[in-house]
Amino acid sequence: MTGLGDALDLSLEVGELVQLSGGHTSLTVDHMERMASALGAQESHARISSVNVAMTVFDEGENLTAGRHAQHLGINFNTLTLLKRLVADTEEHRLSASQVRSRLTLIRNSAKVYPTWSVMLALGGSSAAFAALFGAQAAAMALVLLGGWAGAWVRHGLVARRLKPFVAVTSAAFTSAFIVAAGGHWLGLGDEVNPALAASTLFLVPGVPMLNGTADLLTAHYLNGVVRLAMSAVIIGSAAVGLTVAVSLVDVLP
Amino acid sequence: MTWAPSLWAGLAVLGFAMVFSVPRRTLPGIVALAIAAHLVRTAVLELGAPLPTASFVAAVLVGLTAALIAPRTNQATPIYAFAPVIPLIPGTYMFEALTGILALTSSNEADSAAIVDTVMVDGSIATLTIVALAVGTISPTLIVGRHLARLVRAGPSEAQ
Repeated sequence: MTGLGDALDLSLEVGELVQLSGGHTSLTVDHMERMASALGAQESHARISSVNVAMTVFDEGENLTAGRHAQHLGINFNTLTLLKRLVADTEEHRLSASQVRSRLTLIRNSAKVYPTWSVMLALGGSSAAFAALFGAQAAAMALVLLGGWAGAWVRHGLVARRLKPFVAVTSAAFTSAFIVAAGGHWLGLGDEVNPALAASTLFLVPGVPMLNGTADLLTAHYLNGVVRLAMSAVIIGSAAVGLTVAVSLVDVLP
Repeated sequence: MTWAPSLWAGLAVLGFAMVFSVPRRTLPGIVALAIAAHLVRTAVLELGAPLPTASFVAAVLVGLTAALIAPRTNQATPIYAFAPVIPLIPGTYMFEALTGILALTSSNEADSAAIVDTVMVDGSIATLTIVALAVGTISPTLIVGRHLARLVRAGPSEAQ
C-alpha cells in the first residue's frame, strides 16, 4: 500500500472506531483529518453519515477516496481515550503507518473495562439510587434494584442476539417495571411504589445518543443529529411502552 | 440545603459510567462531579429557579469541568461530560406525564381537562429539562473546550 493509501486506510479505521465508540460527528471528523495529515496527506475531507464513514485524501496531485460501514451504535469511552492519545502521538512523535496499525489492532482487541456481571449489578444499583432520589423507601428501592438488574440482563441478552432496539428496550422496560409493580402490589406498597416505577426504566435512558445528537445539531451536522435524536426518541418511546404494558398488567392482577 | 440526597446521585451515575466503559481511574472524578452537579441544581432550585434553569446551570458546570479536566488527565472529554448529568434526568416528571396519558384513556369528560393540564405541564418540564441538560453539557465543551485545552497544555505562563 502507498503512503497515501496508508493514510486513507488508517484514518478510516480511526473514524470507524470513533463512530463505534460513541463519538459525535465533529470528533470523528477531527480525528480522521488529523490522522490523515499526520500520516502525510496534504489535504483531506471526511464525510460521516449515521451508517458510514468516508474520506478523500490529496497529496501532490494524487487523490484517493474510500468508505467504510460504521454505525454509531456502540459506547466505549475508554476506546475514545485511546484513540485520542493515538492521534496525538502520531502528530507529536511522527509514528509510522505500521506503528499506527499495530496500535489500532491493540485498541480494537482491548479487553472490556468491566466484567458484564458487574455492569448489570451497577445498573441495578443506579436504578435503586434513582428511586431514592425520587423519594422511594427501602422496600421500593430493593424492588428497583432487582428490577433494574433483571431488565439490564434482558436488554444485554436481546442486543447480543442482534434484535432491534425497539424489541430489546421494550422487553427490558417491561421486565424491570413488572418486577417493581408486581412486587409493590404484593407487598401492599400502594402509591409508595410510584417513585420506584419512575426509576425502574431510567437505566434505559439513551444519554449518549441524546447528547451526541445535540452536539451534532450545534456543530451543524444536522442530518446525523436528527438521526441520533430520532434513535433516542424510539428508545424512550419503547421504554414507555414496556412500562405501560407492565403497569396495565399489574392493575388487573388479583 | 440538604446535601445527603445528592450522594444518591453519585451512586446513580456509577452504573452509567460503567456502561459507557470509562477508564477505572476516572470513576471517582465522575462520581464527585455527579454529586456536585446535583448539589448545584438543588441550590439553584432553592433560590427559586425553575427545574430546567437549575438543570441548565448544573449541566454547564459539568460541561466546563469536563472541558478543563479531560485535557489535563489526557482523557476523552465525553468521559467527564456525559455520565454526571444522567442523575439530573427528570424521571418523575416523565413518569407523571406518561401515567397522565394513560389516565386519559379511562377518565370521564369532567376529569380529562385537569389530567390534560397535568400531562402538558409535566411533559413540558421534562422536555425542557432534558433539552437544558443536553445543551448545557455540550455547549461548553464545543465552545470553550478547544481554548481551555490549549490553555491547559500551554501552562499559566504562556497563556498570559
